Parts: sequence; structure tokens; C-alpha cells
Amino acid sequence: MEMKNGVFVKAAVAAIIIFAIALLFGYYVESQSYAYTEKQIAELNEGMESALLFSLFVQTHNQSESMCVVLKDQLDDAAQNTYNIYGALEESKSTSIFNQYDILRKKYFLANMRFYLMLRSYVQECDDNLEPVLFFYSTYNSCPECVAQGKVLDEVRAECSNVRAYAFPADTEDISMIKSFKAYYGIVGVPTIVINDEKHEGLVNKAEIKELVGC
Amino acid sequence: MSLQIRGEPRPLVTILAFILVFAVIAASISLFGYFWVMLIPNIFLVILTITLLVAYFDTKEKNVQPLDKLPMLSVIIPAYNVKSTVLDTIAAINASVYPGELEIIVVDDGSTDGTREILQNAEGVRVILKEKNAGKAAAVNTGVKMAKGEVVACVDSDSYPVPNAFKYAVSALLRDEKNGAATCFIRVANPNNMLRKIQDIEYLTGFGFSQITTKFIDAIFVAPGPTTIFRKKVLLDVGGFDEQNITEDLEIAWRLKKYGYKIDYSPDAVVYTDVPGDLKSLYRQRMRWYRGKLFNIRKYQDMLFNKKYGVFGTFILPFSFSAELSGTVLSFSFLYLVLNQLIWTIRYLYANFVLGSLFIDMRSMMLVGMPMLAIGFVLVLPWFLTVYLSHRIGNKKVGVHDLIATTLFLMFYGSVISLFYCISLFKEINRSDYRWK
Repeated sequence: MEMKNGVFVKAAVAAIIIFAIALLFGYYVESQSYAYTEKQIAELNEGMESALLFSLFVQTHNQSESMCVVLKDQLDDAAQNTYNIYGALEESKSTSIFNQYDILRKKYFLANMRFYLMLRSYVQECDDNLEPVLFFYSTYNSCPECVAQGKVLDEVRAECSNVRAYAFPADTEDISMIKSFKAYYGIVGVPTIVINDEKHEGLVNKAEIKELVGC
Repeated sequence: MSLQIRGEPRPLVTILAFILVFAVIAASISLFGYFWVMLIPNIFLVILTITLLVAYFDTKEKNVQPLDKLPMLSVIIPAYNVKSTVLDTIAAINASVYPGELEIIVVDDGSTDGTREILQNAEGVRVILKEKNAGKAAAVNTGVKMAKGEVVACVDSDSYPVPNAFKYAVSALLRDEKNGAATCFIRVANPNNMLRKIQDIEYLTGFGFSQITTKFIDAIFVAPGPTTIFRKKVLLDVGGFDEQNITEDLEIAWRLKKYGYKIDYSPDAVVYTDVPGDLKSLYRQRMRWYRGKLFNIRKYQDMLFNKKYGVFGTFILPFSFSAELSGTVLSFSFLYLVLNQLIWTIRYLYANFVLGSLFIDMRSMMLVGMPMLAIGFVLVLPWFLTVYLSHRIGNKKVGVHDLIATTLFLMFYGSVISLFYCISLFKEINRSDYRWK
């Protein structure tokens, strides 16, 4: 009997070790993809930083004509990056086990917000006809409508060169800036699109969006 | 003929139980996530696997030394409408190399297909004819009463012991005075299609690896129907097989435990048996096994967590019940996911319809990602090791041509069995009548 108790002690230790290895391995794998997305968001913020400096330069030196072109290039680069991050972030979030992604989505929201505000100031400074479209969505798994709407926005973006789209995870809360931003546009449900400070709740089809953005 | 009359079926209770289980699992998934809900029942299975693995590596002597002189053995074959296989069984037993006297008793359980006529011509066999069909357990009990041997072997009429099987099994039985029974290494006789090849691997793990290891912790919990050896006196002392039980082979093992007897095992006592070749017969067989197990857990609930019955009561019984639990959680989680996906797809298609979007990206909800695969990979490693060791016990190489069966066994067979576990649980709740054949 003593020998058999030995079996259970050994088995308990082995089981704890295996569960620990499994969970650590899973956590490591998730952290790797988390770190990758985090790095992308950091790069996005850096790009934004330099664009911000450009825009200050434009304001202080009254050099609109020459600098506006450079600024626009920078903002377009950032636009492409945010779009890539958006897809990667949502895919990782829906398969996440340790729920690390909530913080990242807040960071993404803030980066996007910053980006959007800069674009607005660029439009004012450089007198461009760029049309920002805000797209509020929630997690893929909970909102198939958002996936469908996102696809349509993607197409509009590809067809109209003047459209810049910003996707915001509306199921993100906790930070007062995010709350005020959502409150400002009165976001209650998803998907919601904001064009020209005007809110359009529910599904909006391609033709309607094109009409609203003048494309 | 129906067995186990347990009152009227209760569909209302069953439906309520179904809804309750579904609601609990759906709520848990949305609260904690799919992964954690799936993990909890699997924890028991992983612990069970690891414990058996440790027991395996701790077992120094896995084989039994055969004795030179053995007491008289009476082989009892219950036969009911088995004209195509029973002669092969008799031939296999006649080919036995057994250092002692051996008699074969075939108990015909009121066959109507011509088995009786065939048996009249069989040589070296005592045939007992029963007029009325009364079930396998009753037939075996009749045979045991007629047996002259000190040791009896109960052999199914579609099972074929190898020549050395009885020598090893009886030697195992006799090596400890407390032994009431000795089990054999049951293997698949006819692995001629994919389903049977998969079961071949299942039997290697279930009757090879599991028996060696549960023997080591003194907790063998089934006396397999295809062939098990008993001391006749013990079998009569505990009252013979339960004639009202659909899994009398499981029940007798638990009863032996209850009476304080041990069960031994020899991996060299190989017995080949026919297994179901299609899903429908497999389903029928498993309904009998799993419902029988559930029924007997109720019958022997006082043994659950009871220290008096050692490792059998405190560990094997509760942990083997966790298989039904995980099967149920797994099946219901899957049902929840399918329903969820269905609703998601309908909403998605409707949204596309409203948007007039021609391009439909049938992206499904993402369920399994890299983190989950990573954790799953580590947790199945002990199970992979078990399957590998089982092949070694059975001297079976994992060849390239077995790769498909092995993969199917590792990846999908568990889900099918889980579903069977789940259905058996609800049939048991519903008290659906069980019928042989």
C-alpha cells in the first residue's frame, strides 16, 4: 500500500507540472502575438508623433504648401497600419484565453482617436477635401453585422481616394477620454458610422456611404 | 426480452435536465470562455492518464510467470444465435496449451438460428440446452453450476483465446489467495475496416495498458465479457452473475471488490474478439456499456469515495465517472458552439443582404487559436505516450499504414465516444428501456 501511495504522490506532482507547463506555454504563445500587436501599436504612435511634429511645424512656420504633401503621406501610411492592426487585434482577441487584449484594444482606441484628431487638424490646416469616416464596432464573435459593415467600408475605402476610415472598438470602456469621445458622438449600439459629425446607426450600404462622403 | 425494469420513462424530467445542463454550460462559456469550460472536465482525464502512466513505470514485473501444473479449468461459453462464430471459439479453446484438465461447456440460451444443431456435432464439448432465452448472465450461471473445474473461464461465443491464454490467466489468478478473478488482454480479432482498426487501438489502451496499470494500483474495475477467469467457489460465494444487469461483466467485478476479492491480470493471456464494424452496432454496444456503468454506479454508490474499497473506491470509480461528465460537457459545448455559429451566420448573411453586399466572406467565428492549441498540445502528450506504450504492450508496431487509424483515434474517436457517453447519460435519466439485440 505504501508503494501505491507513492504512485499518487508522483502522479500529483507530474499532473501539476504538466498543467503548469501547458498553461505557461499557452500564456507564452498568447504573449508573443500580444507583444507583436503591441509593437505595431507602438510604431503607430511613433509615426503619429512625427506627424504631429510636422503639423506643428506647418502651423508655426506657415509652410502649408510644401509640408502638406509630406504630412498627407505620413497620415496615409498610418492609415494603412491601423487597418492592419485592426484585423490582427480582433482575430487575436477572439481566440485569446488569458484576456490580455482588453488593454491593447484601449491603446488601439486611443491611438486611433489621436490619429483621427490629427487628420481633422490636417484637413483644416491644409484645406484638403479628405473625408474621415468613423466606424464603431465590437468583437467579431458578438457582432456579425460589424464584420459585414467593415467589409463594405473596406470597399468604399478602396474605391474613394478621399475617404479615411477609423475603426473604434465600441465595447471598450474605462478610460474617461474614450467615454467622452463615445458620448460626444452618442454611440449606443454597433455598428455605427459617423460621417461629417453625423451619426448613422445600424447598417449603411455602399451607395449611401458614397453619397455621404461625396464620392 | 427486456432487462432492468426501472419504472416508467420520464421524458419531462429528461427534457428539463437537458435544458438545465445546456443553460449551465452556455452560461459558463459566455462567462469564462469556451476554453476554460472545456478544460475543467478534462483535468480529471489528464490526472487519470498521468496516474496510470506513473503506475506503469512503477510496475516492475508486468508479466506473469506461468505455473507448470494448473487445476482443472471449465470453460463456459454462453451461446445465443451465434452459429457463424461459436465453432471458431470452440476450435480456439480446443487448441489451448493448458497444463491441466480442461472441459468446455456450451450453454445454448434458447437459440433459434440453428446454433443448437451445429452444437450437436461439435466434438469434445458438453452442451447444455436451455429452452427459454434468459440472457447471457443466466446462461453463464447455469454453466458454472455444471462445471467440474476448480477454476472457470467465461468466454463469449465470438471470442478466440490464443493457445497460451488460459495458462497465463489461471497462473495470474492463482498467484494471490485473495484473487477472485483474472482478466485477459482482449484484442480485436478482425481489424479489417477503419472503424475496427480504430477500436483495435482503443482495445490496446483499454485492455492492455489500463489493465496492467489498474492492476498495479489494485483497482481493475471490469471483468471483460470476452474472457475472464474466476475461482468457481468465489463466483458461487458472491452469488454468480447478476441476471438483471446489462453489463454483468462490470457488475461482477465491482461485486468481487465489494466482497474484498482482488482481480489480477496477465498481458500474455491474449483473447481476440469480434468488434462492431459499423457505427450503428458500435452505438448499440456502447449504449449497453455506458448505461450499464451508470446503472452500476448508482447500484454501488456506497463504494464511491469509500476508503474501505481502497484505490478502487476513492480514485478509479469517481475518476472513471468523470469520463461521462467530460463527454457530456464536451457534447453540450459543441452543441452550444454549433448553435452560436448558426445564429452568427444567419445574422451575418442577413446583414450582407441588407447591405446589398455581393461579396460574402464566410469567415466563421474564431474558436481555436494558437494559445489554445499550445495548451492542448501539452495536455495530450501523456495520452500520446499512453497510446505508444499500449502498442508496445501489444507488440504492435505503429506502421505507416496504421497512421490514418491512429490519427483518427487520437483526433476524432474521442468526440464520438463523448457523444455516446452523453447520450447514455440522458437515456439513463429517461429510464429508456434497454433491450438486448
